[in-house]
Amino acid sequence: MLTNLIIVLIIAVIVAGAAAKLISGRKKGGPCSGCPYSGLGDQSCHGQDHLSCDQTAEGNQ
Amino acid sequence: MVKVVEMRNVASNKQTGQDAADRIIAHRVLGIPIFAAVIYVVFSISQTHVGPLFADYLVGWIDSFYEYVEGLMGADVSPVLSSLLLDGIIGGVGAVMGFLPLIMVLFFLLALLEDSGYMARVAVVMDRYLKRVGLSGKSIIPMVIGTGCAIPGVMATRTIRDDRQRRTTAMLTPFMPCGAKLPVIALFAGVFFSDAAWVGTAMYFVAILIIITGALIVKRITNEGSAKSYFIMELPDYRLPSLKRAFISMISRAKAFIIRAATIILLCNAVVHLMQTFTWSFQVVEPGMENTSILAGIASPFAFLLIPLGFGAWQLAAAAIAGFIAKENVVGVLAVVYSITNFIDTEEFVLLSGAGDVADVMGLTSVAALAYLMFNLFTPPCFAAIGAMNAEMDSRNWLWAGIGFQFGVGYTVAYFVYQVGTLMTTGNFGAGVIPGLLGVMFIAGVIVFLIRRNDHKSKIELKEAV
Repeated sequence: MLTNLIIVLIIAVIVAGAAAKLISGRKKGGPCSGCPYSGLGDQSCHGQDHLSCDQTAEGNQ
Repeated sequence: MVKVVEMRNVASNKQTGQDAADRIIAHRVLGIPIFAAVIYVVFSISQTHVGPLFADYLVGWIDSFYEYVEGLMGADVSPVLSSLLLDGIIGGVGAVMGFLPLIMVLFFLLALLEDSGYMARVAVVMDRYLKRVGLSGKSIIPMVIGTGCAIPGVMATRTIRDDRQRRTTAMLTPFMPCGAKLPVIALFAGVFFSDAAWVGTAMYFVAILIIITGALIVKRITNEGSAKSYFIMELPDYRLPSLKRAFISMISRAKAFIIRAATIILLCNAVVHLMQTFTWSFQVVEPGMENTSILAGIASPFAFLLIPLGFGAWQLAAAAIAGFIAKENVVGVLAVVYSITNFIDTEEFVLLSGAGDVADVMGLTSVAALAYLMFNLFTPPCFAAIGAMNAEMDSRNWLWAGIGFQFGVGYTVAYFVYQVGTLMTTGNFGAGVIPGLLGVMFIAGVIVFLIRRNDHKSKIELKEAV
């Protein structure tokens, strides 16, 4: 019984941690997986309203 | 003195070594097979030679961790909880993480290519074809960015001033295989085609072909003249790529991949596992009665529509649906629903499960697997990318037409791959050939109707003008 409770707690912590990271990332505008500009500071593509990708594209023309 | 100061060496009429290389690499005809060869080598190194070496180690560690946690829990733990933690969370996330080394090697090689100046030449080669089918000269930039991630790719379309060209580019950019689709490609290339590099290469070229055909169709439907636009880019000099820059790029993308696996993929796998464990009356599903689960109940109606494409199993339909949340989910959900924690060393799984092949476990032939892969790659992208399409298209009609077009393309491509492939390999058509053909004819009929309607409108406008 106690083991089951511990497992439930562990699963709850893992799931809550993943959800919290997802929510905080969304608020901050987390980088997209595989994005060529992910993690590149000002150039990173954070969200739809972020202009850096637009600027990058313009910079190439 | 003035004469000496004003003397300039004008070298523009001299052909340098760089120019000579460009005449071949950026050649309008030769550029295409060269690009195919380069992508083939990149996939060959990342998925056949170097990537799997590292993947074996990583998968070994994930398996050891799985066994360690299993041993730690003992036999007293509830099977539902134990299965949720082991198969749903560790197994599902582990299956996606197993592809990390392959993806890292691929990203490293692509970063080297970009740094060497080669990718700029690819943009020049492709630009010629895109302009001919009514797209903007600037359309190539979103598509190149879209190979990393469709979201910034779609966002980059806002530099295109002409509405039709911008919306068409936003609609077609997600067809390029993005970073999230690479594990799906790696999975099917590895499990069904012995890590054949041609699978990944072919997906890029099928995407380009779809983009060109799609642009032609949209041009015919809208019946609008294209605004002339030019793609002016200063080609960077060829140079030896920086290993340091490529390494940094690879690490940053790998970090983003790990974060996605530990968040959205983990949550989806946990939910999918719970839905697979319980029936609609919240009873645990009896062994052998998996069809009664909540997941099977939701996915089965969709699976019925997929029979003509060769993958009418509810498990495959569930994975495809989960792919709309994030494309890596296809791998994670397949791992959960088939209880496969390791897609890299499938031989071990086959020995344990007693199946002849992983293909038997999934109930897929190689042709059906290729159709399933294409269906996942060429149907609409993840919801986040659809959100970006909505923002850039700025038109509900265009957005829904775009999503409909993407579904139509994915369905049609998968149908022809499966039915023609099955005919070629077995001599007979696959299951559901007639219903599938009716579906494809319906899609074609809608397109023809839209083209004719606009032709008719144009004629009336012309008569009124005269």
